[in-house]
Amino acid sequence: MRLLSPWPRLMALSTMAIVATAALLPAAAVAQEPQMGGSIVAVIEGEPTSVDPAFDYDFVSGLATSSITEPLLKFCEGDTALCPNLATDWTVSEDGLTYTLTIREGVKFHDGTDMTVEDVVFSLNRVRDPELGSYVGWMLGNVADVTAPDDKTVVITMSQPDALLEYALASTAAHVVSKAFVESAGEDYGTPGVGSLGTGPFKFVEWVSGDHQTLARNDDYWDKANGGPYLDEITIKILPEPTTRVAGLDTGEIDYLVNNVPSDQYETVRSFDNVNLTFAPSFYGEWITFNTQLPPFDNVQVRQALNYATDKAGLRALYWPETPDTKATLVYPTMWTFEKEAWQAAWDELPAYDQDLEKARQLLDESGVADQLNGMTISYYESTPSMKGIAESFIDSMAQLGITIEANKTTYQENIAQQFGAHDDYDIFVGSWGSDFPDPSGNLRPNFGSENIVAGGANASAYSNPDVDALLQEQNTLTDKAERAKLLIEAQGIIAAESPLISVSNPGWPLATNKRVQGAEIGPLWYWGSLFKHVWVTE
Amino acid sequence: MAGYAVRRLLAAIPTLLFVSFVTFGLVRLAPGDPVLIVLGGKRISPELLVQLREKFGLVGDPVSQYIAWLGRAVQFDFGESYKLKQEVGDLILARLDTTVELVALSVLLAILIGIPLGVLQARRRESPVDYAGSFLAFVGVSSPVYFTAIIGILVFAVWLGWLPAFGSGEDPVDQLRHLILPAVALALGMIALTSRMTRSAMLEVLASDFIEAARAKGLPERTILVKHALRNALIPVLTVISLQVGFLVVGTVLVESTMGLGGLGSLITDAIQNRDYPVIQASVLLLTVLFILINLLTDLLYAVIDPRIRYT
Repeated sequence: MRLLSPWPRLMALSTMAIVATAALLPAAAVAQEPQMGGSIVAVIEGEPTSVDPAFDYDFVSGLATSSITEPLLKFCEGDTALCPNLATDWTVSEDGLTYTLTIREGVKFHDGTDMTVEDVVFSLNRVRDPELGSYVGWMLGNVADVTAPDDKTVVITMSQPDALLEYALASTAAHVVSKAFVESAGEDYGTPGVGSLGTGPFKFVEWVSGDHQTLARNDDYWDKANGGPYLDEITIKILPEPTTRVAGLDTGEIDYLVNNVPSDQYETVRSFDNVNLTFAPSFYGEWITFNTQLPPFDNVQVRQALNYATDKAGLRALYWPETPDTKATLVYPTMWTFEKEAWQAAWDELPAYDQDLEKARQLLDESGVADQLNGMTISYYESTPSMKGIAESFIDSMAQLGITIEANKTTYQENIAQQFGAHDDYDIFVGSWGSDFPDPSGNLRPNFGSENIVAGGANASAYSNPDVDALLQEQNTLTDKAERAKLLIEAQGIIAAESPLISVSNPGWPLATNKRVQGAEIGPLWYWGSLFKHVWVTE
Repeated sequence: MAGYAVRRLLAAIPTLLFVSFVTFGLVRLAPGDPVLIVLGGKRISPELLVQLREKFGLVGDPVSQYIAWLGRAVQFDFGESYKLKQEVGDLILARLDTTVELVALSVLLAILIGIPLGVLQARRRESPVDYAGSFLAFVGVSSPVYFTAIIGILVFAVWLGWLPAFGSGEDPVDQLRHLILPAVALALGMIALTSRMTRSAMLEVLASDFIEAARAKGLPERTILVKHALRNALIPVLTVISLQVGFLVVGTVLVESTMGLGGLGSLITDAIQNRDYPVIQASVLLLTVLFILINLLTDLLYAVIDPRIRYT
């Protein structure tokens, strides 16, 4: 078409010139300044339970829930300390029976309504209410009452001191929900049709059951001073099959994958040039145990022998090559959140039970009951490939000692029944455990306190030692960290000598992100906080 | 025929009652404690255990539990899932369209590819086409569906980038793109079965006297094949397909979990694994209804295909 006026042609030419020049300019250095906007796709391995924080106590529900509603305190400094969040300040009385919290002002829910101390009191009492059946209600088990003496303060009174309460205030047990919203939603609160209303960096947009959840940025978030939220939208999709998750990372359909990276495909994921794979320290570990009240496991020499027989170094080299050695304790170095020096000194003294088949053989002979082990089974559930690997390695080690152990691969429910039932329906059990809190007691009391042997508890070793019980119970009533450390270290020492459990590993939490995703860092307690507040994308 | 259909539907009611009763009993006899499973991994107080048992309706004698459940079920209130804290009805409805789309697409592929393939094989018996078709059928039937799905993802999503690796897509066109790989993975086995069935049924019919008579009359081969032979061969083929459809509703589960699709298959299998009684009971009822309807539809289709069949 012939142009009658020269201007359009001039415009076109100059535009083309500008565009061509811009294209020829070397690409500007990748901006390290976070940019607003963009969206990501995150993936979880199963359907979330709810977006009601009272029922969020797993690894899939929290991705949405912890970005929508928030707790009074939050974990910070690599998840080893507590920082203010919706509460700006907190003090504990000398006797540990009164917690006084100052509530932040000017915080609004996503619908514009103000967050008040009434909402805080409502939220805490709701979780404590046995009628609700909250999965995190037990965290507030020692709370006697929650009141608001004025419109800036909330007071929590305890029936007895509880060293773990302040951690509970950073968990979903202390998420602040909107009283008005929850009351009007009634039974449907937290379900896909209704969602949740919170103060967090992202708002609930939709949840298509079985398919995905969508969150959108909260432009009026109260904590923008520290950066974020940046993303326009987050889509959380459900994908049970591990191999497909790896494929999705490769094709770029998945931008963010935490925890659910299959451990036997780390190398493959590392080889993708569009994906970053990092590991955060964890409070979690895998181990082998047995019921220490049933023969022959009631014999300490047998238990120590089994510990010496296990090839922990070999397993670590195979599955978790960059993780440090373990010792005979479940309090990993990552959990030394107070009195570090004392714990380090204790660690240096702890036995490692490095594989020594000669020693194992000798101990078994001395015990005189080694032949009872023949034909016993080791039960495992293949939640990750390493669980199976641990079982197989153990069988192999025992074979070298001339003892035959059979493998018993269980289903998910059988595994749950074994680990949380009466603890008497297995010979040898491969298990895992991670503390909920950055506190050493979180990996000692649930696993070795005798009150946790009965159904519902996690003491899979059926370990019962009155001295240890006394130490564990007493430390929980103290607020002096140095005193607590002393008692816990003593308990740790006794347990290590008695070897009721074989500690194998302390793997890190994997985080796989597409290279366009920035600002994604997780800590050991990633499941308690908002994963997405600081995340931004380069394109 | 309408009266026949209505009578069949009425007869379904006692069947449903019986099935629901048996399911109720069997599922509670199976080992595994739904409360422990729901709380697995979480710290529990003994009070919470008792609390949940009551909430789940697991206290009291089984018969009154069943009557209570039945009373609500007839009002289409199937209760709340133990694990997922959503109404069972909502859970099923949310997943129904994914399952329907997936099953419909797979069956369509099976019919559109399987039947013509079978006809072609019967027509050109012992030819390279016949052998190739048989080989494909062999592969289709032997290959586990999740394996086919993963190979499909590897080739079409990772290497070629033509199709998405997982998920369900947004608008209808996008959804169709997302369903291609899973539907093909599912259809492969059905194509195999359908083509074999068609082939052998066709061969049998083609050998009969009336076909020879038609040929002698000088009818074109195409008319003989499609209008006369195929129509007679369709009855056994229809039987096979209808059986497959029933199983496919839950059989999609492996493809669903491999490719991140939220359908009834994974809902039901997860519920069984988690001893999620309300979901199991409602799902079994739904499946029973589905099987009854499919059977009825198949029987009615027989009458359409073969005018000699009459229902009174």
